[in-house]
Amino acid sequence: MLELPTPVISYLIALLLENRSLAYLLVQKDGALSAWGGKLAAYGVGNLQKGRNIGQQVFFLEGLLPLDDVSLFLPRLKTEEGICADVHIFSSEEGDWVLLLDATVDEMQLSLIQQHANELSLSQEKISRVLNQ
Amino acid sequence: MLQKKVCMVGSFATGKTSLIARFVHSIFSEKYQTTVGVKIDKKTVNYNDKELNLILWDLYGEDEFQKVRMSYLRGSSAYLLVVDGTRRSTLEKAFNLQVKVEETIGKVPFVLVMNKSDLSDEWEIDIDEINDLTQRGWNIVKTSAKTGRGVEEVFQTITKKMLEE
Repeated sequence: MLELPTPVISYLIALLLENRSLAYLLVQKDGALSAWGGKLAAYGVGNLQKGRNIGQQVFFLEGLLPLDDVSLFLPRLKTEEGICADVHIFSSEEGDWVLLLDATVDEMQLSLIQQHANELSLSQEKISRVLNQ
Repeated sequence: MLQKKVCMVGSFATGKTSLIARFVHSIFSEKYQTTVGVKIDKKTVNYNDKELNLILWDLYGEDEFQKVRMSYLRGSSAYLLVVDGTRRSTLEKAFNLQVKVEETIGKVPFVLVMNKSDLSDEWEIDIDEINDLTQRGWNIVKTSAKTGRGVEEVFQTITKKMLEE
């Protein structure tokens, strides 16, 4: 594993906390929520209860847990209530960890490119149809 | 309450987001707005006097540059394959996606949604082809997110199939 000096790690963590609204959930293998923290409200997550099933509390996690051995990455996930999130899920002895990181900037940049590309493709398809008639 | 995850998959600009907007919020916009990543909505439906929460995952549409990320499909109880009837290529894309999805999450219920039925004059997919698929056992529903035609039926059909599996 890459060895990094403590000040560098501290700086990176502070940067992550400040810029990407880190939030986390810890879920037992039976689906019960056991711990949480960070800026969950930014993602529309609130009123959490320890021991209650995660799918009933955070609806976008329905069906995703428990995790197998392989970690899961779900980029640019968005609900009506919260900001766009990159979701990372991984297992440990304590249970499954769900990390949420703000992906708003990424979403905005990609959206502009994707919108333009798709509109261009639709125009090209339309022209091809007309020419083939 | 019982909850089921349902994914919307299909080529770009087939109307996946519009179908959800119509079903969940009863709205429609003419303006095409591409989906980046995935948008998740929830709607409670009734089936046989039982309430069920549908967790609807609206996945970005696949195009030649961007393939659908199969990890989004984890834990899905069903999926909707959305086709734009005015673009034949979107049906071919749906066939490819159906194979990929089944490889990823196994055999779960799905419905082929033939969207944009309000533009039937411009359709590139003929009725014989749809009939062939029906004979192969596929569930097919014609919809229009614009007028609302068939939208409730799609979600009722997929709910029924999930609960009867």
